[in-house]
Amino acid sequence: MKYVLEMKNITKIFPGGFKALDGVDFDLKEGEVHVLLGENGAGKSTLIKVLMGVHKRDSGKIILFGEEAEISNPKEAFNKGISVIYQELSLFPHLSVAENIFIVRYPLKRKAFIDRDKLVEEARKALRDLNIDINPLELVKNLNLSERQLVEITRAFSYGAKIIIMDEPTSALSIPEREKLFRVIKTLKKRGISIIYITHFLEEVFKVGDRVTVLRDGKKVGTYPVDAVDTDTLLRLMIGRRLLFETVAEKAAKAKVREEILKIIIHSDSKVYEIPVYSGEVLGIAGPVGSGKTELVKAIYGALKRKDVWLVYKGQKVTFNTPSKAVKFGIGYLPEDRDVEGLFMCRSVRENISIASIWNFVKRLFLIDKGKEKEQVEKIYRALDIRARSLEQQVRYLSGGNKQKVAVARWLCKRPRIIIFDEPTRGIDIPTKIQVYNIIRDLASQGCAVIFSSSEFNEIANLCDRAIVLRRGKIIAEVEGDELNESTLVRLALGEVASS
Amino acid sequence: MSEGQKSQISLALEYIGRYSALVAFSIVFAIFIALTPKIIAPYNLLIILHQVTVFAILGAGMTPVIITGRIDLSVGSTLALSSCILGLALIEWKLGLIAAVILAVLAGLAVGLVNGLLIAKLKVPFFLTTVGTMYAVRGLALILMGGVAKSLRDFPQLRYLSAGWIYVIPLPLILIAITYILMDILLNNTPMGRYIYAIGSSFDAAKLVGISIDKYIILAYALSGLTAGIAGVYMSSRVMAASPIIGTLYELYAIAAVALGGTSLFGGEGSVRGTLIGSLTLTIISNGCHLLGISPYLEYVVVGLVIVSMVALDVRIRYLRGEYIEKA
Repeated sequence: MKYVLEMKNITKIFPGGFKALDGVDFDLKEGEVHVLLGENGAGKSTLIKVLMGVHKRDSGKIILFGEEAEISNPKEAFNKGISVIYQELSLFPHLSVAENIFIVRYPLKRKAFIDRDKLVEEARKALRDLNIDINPLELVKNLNLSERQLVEITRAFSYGAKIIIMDEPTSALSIPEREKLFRVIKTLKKRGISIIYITHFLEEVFKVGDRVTVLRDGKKVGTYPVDAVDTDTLLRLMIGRRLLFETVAEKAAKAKVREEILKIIIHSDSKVYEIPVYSGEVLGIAGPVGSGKTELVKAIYGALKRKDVWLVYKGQKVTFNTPSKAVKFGIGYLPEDRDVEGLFMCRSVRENISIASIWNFVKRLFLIDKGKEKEQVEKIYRALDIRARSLEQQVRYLSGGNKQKVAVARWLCKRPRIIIFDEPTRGIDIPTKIQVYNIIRDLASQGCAVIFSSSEFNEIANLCDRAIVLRRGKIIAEVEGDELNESTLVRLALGEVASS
Repeated sequence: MSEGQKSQISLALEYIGRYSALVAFSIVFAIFIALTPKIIAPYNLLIILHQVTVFAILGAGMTPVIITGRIDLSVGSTLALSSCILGLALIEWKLGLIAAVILAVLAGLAVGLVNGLLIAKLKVPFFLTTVGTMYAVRGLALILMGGVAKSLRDFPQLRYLSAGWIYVIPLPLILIAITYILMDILLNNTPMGRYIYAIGSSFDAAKLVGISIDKYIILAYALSGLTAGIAGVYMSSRVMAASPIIGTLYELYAIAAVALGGTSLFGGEGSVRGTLIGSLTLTIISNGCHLLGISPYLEYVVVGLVIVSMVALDVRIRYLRGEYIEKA
């Protein structure tokens, strides 16, 4: 079999020196499914973005269909036969399936008018080619997520894509829907399409993959035929050995006071989980991307309405219907998507840090004591070693790690009783990660209750006192003590489960 | 390009962005001084002051609305309503001048509050809300006056508001100074101001940081209504009449003043100081064209060109800074 794609010695360094990819090789044969496996931050998405021309690589070369290729943006990649399947993003809900499939090249009659009959006929044919049972006349808004995904795949296929990239395609799908997707993938293979399949669900490697490449911390660990490896081997390769947590303060350094601040009650299908939040403790929420961690913490914070998540304070049910109520109660939330939901990009570092606690600096009338504000902000700014040109620099110019520090600094300035960290270490460099870990432990030892959500299981295992594990939107376990270790968490969240 | 050069360029862009209003003003002013030195004659400067006052006052209230990333198209109509309420209060209801002025200003505030409530609480899109109030309020003003303007020459003290002096300082200058100082303090030195910037910078982040967004959107529109009310009183004093048809299209002048002042129409950035400079730029173009004998029709073209080039510059700077703007 010949190679359709070879990426050689790809290195990508982000501003600030963070090596997202370090000399990675990757290749793809005609008609194969090559699984890209790795934890978050391992470099999977960066590798794809380099391929699609979203990120410019710092070194290495890309050989596409036997010729060296320069791809500088996703459109070029698309024209060269590479398609990425995004989740629900790139379809037009108010158009029909057929119209979506042919959106940029409607069949025309007399050069100006859309040939409706031909449009529907060709769409029907394309769907049939892939054994997909969807009515081409249906409006996309009436389709569920799984069907939309299949429409996207059909679109890519009918455009003549030779390489289709699927990024965590099953994270929001039910089990029968996943089976359907796997069948479509098999059909695609038969038609000679090559697929890069990104996942961190181990079981899927064996279900769809021909070969698997494991990435870890921006480096390639190895490429293996799937029948040469098993789940345990892959797990070991993915995690590797890490020294990251040796510098983090001991869990044992616990606060003296341990007081229940809030109780989270989650109604699962079969069971009701009562999860107390204690001051001085770090409560972990573990689960892969798409497992519903953000939805859960947002529901706690009042940013998302959910009937199955209740909060109890001193025996009384409390409801936060807006985040401002939660903030008044004494909760702070550090969002996962810090650029959009966390930071005010066009405002200064100072304003971003003081915004949540601005009333603390008001002395009389409504006037802010700017001296006091600056003094307090500067203290935290220095303590966290935030690298900005000055306190007045706009946050958008900061590197990822420094942005995250600003977002953390905001809540350090406010000092709520509970702080929720939602994936606080995603996309930031190692030293900053360690700093964030230390901040979290420090906060706990000072009596703050921390809720820490992460898809990096080693973080949960090393930082948390207790943890709950989520899988596909459902809470499946509550672990503490000796059970709280990385391999248990990984097995619970990703490994084989009888029901799947 | 080295890291150092890159950061110097980004620094330069930041400064150009920050002082773009001043740059535009200086260029426009310099051009007109070169073309017609009369523009800086003392009597003409006084004319400029009288002309700039309405734009400046409307712009001061429009600024917080635009900083939240929204817009208020109703201020021209609100200005007229305020003028009519002033006239009715003086002529029909026989109120004293001070009471009539207060009532007129409150009428403006009321329109602002209605806008704010519709947008924040009923979630009516801001553009349509203020187009709606633009029509409704203009209609209300016309109904109140039976469709005609009434002279206020029987109330000579009213003239003082626009033509009076305190020692050597003309009253409009004091009016502008007070409005701008208060608005500047509100935006920069109070939590409310911080929240207004935050909302414009990122609606989602503002919500997640615990800001009660509705309250501050209502506040922004209330401020805009309030200044429209003040502008209405000032205009009435200038023309010594209560008129339901004044202020037509003034919302666009106010928006132009804000935009020329370097406040981003995407929200989150800007200042009333900029708006003051922006309204001056706008007035100087209009006054300068007049002095040069350029036809008023061509004057519209010049104003339009300056506004578009200014916004184009803003967009260009954002593009260079790496913020891609996809919506047109």
